[in-house]
Amino acid sequence: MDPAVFLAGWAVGAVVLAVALTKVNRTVDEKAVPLMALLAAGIFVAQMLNFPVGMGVSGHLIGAALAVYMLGPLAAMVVMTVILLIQGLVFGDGGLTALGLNILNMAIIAPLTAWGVLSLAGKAKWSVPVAGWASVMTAATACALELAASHTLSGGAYGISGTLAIPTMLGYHALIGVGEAIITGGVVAYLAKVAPETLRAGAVPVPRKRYANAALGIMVLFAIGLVLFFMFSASMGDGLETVMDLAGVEEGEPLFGGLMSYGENYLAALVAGVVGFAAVFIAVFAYFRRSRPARQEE
Amino acid sequence: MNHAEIDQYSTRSRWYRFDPRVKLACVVGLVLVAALTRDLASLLLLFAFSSALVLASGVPLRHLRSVLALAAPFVVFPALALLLTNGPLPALAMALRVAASVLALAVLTTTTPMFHLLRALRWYRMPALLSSLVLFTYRFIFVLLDELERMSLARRARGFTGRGHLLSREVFRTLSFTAGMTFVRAHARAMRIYDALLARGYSGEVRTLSELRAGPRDVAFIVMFLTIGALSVLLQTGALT
Amino acid sequence: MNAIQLNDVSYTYDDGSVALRDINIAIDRGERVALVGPNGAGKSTLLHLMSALYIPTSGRVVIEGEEVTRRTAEKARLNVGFLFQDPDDQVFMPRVYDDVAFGPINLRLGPEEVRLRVEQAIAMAGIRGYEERAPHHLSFGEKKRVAIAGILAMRSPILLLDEPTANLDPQGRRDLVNILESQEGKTMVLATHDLSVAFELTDRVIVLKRTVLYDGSIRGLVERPDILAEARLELPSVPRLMERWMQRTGRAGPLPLTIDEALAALDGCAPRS
Repeated sequence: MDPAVFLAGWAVGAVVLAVALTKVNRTVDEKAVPLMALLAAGIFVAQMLNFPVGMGVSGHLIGAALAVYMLGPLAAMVVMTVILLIQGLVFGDGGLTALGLNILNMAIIAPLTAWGVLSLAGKAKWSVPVAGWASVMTAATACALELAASHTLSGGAYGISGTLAIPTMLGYHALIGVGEAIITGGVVAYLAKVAPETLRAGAVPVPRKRYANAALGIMVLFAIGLVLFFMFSASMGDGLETVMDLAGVEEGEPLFGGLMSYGENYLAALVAGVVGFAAVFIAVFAYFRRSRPARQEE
Repeated sequence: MNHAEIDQYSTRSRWYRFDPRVKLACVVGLVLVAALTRDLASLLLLFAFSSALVLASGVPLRHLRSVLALAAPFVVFPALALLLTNGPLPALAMALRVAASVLALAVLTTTTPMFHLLRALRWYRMPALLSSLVLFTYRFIFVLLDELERMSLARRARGFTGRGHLLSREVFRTLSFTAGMTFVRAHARAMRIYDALLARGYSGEVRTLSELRAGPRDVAFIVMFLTIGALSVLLQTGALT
Repeated sequence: MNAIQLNDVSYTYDDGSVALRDINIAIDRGERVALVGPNGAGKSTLLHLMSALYIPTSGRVVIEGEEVTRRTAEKARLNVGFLFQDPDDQVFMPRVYDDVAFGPINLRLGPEEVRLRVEQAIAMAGIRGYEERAPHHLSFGEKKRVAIAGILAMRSPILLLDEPTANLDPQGRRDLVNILESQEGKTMVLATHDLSVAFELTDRVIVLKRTVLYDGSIRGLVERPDILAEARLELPSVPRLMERWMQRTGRAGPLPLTIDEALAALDGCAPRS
């Protein structure tokens, strides 16, 4: 991956992770630690298994949706991070180089998506499988965008070009997502029948918070997507300028002049991103709020 | 594989006595440098250095083979992908890059016992929750694998062959039941293991017998890594042609 | 001060099943108590409560004078050495020496003190020479010794043992009994199905089946066939033999429980030549 993509991945990942860790630390109780560890171990082992999706293609699980269903979004992020840490540091599988981006994709984006779907779907039967599929798709999209961004930014030395990366990643993972959906759904159904007490800590939120949760999830995803998108188009001058005009932002002074020749674009992109994010967040949240009848405070 | 097996040759290896914090920083540093390096000569240097470290570690090759087997796909597949999209030279660069990282990490994992590694991570301010989770997740992975093996033996003893793909109803049902049962049984064992550790005084903090203390040999270790790193960067920027 | 005290203790699992009800037990310092009962009686749960691994659902558990609460549990555990039934659950580290040292290190002792304790514990458990070995390569009996060494190294005043002789070969069993016998002054609670071990090591027995069915001397227990039946217990061969012998010969007196006692009783009968 290109250094800039690399660093951006780490930056976003570290911030979100720090938030998740502090929150989980405060709320977790002693007995939850071995349970979280067991779930992490289970997902780790499940990730090792290949499953055929037909036509000679095989895929791997991510498991973020299951983690979110059983533990809630923040604890799920911690669990997915632990899995990545063990793969990279303890088993030394080489995933360490991309750790920042892996954390972003599999430990942040995937769980957030799953959480959004689960929040919106509530008790619907299809909520878990769809959450599984969606989490795989968004993680794959993010990965494809990162690869594409690396490619354009580094002039071909890293990454894979967008025209190739995006369709192949999305197509491939659409199939894998089906496997994830089936397996996640199956596991949840089995546990619900056999050992319902393990699902106690589950993530399906109280209905009144549904829309707020979903909105929040979507917004964070959107923000991250925005950053990625701007990095992708950073080297394509016209695209960026057009968007900046739309957002009414002035091009800022270059701060990172010498070392990274694309510093100027980044700063502008970041500013535009933040403004855009705030605007869309307010808009969508206000929309959802308005559609909720007045409720008493809990 | 048993949970303790990865570490079992650590105490007799050459790199065991080096401060784990130093080893961790140097190896991660090397992985980072490799990630940011494009020049073939630089990557070759890093690869050679990592290989030398592994060979010098004194860990038996037999053991190394199983440790590295886990990482082999990460070398092969990205390189293959690059071969098909960008050409042979980027593919070779990728292969060398990942191989150098994997070998360096192998040095870290085979010569540093789990508790030392966690202690070093804690020193670098990794939160206690994470280090506890890493410790127990690691242990429980092997509990699960053990239970899976037992269940699969039991299944085979009753005639299940596992043919057919995921969407075949019977295979799916058996597999999901196996997964579920394994989880439930592993849960009981996992709680016992946790309780046993608590009973011996584990409270979330990772402690080791001797205080972590970096000495002159660690300085030499750092210098060695810095030299190679500098050489690699210089090669890349063309200052050394 | 009692070493262990349980007042009106009950424990219910998360799924609602009641493991223990209205338990009242007081164990003095240095006492050795056997804990017997059928499978599922709650022996393991009771040991977990006595070692501050569980907090009672209701009632009080007091260990060495301090009540066990969520806050004090961590400290309370350091007073209790708990030997688990399966050494694979207990032995953790890749080297025997490191595993035995785990407990003392958690006690935050200095390196010299840790080394001393580890060496003594290894000697007591009879595994000198095993220090560099990898525990997962050892036999069951050897692993059990490593687990015991790990507990002994902590030098806790209270020892809890969950089925310590289960799955051991006869010599291993003998060695274990000797090790436990040599622990002077320690309060000991032994959960076991093996009544002969109980006879050898303890004077007091508690029969558990979700509540306390009997708490008293072992001799008293053997005279209560009703309790033995309810607890699904059977006397070991020696006392059973002696019971039939005493019926047949019409001899009166206390029932011999161990081989020594039986020989003494038999010697009392003049041999017919």
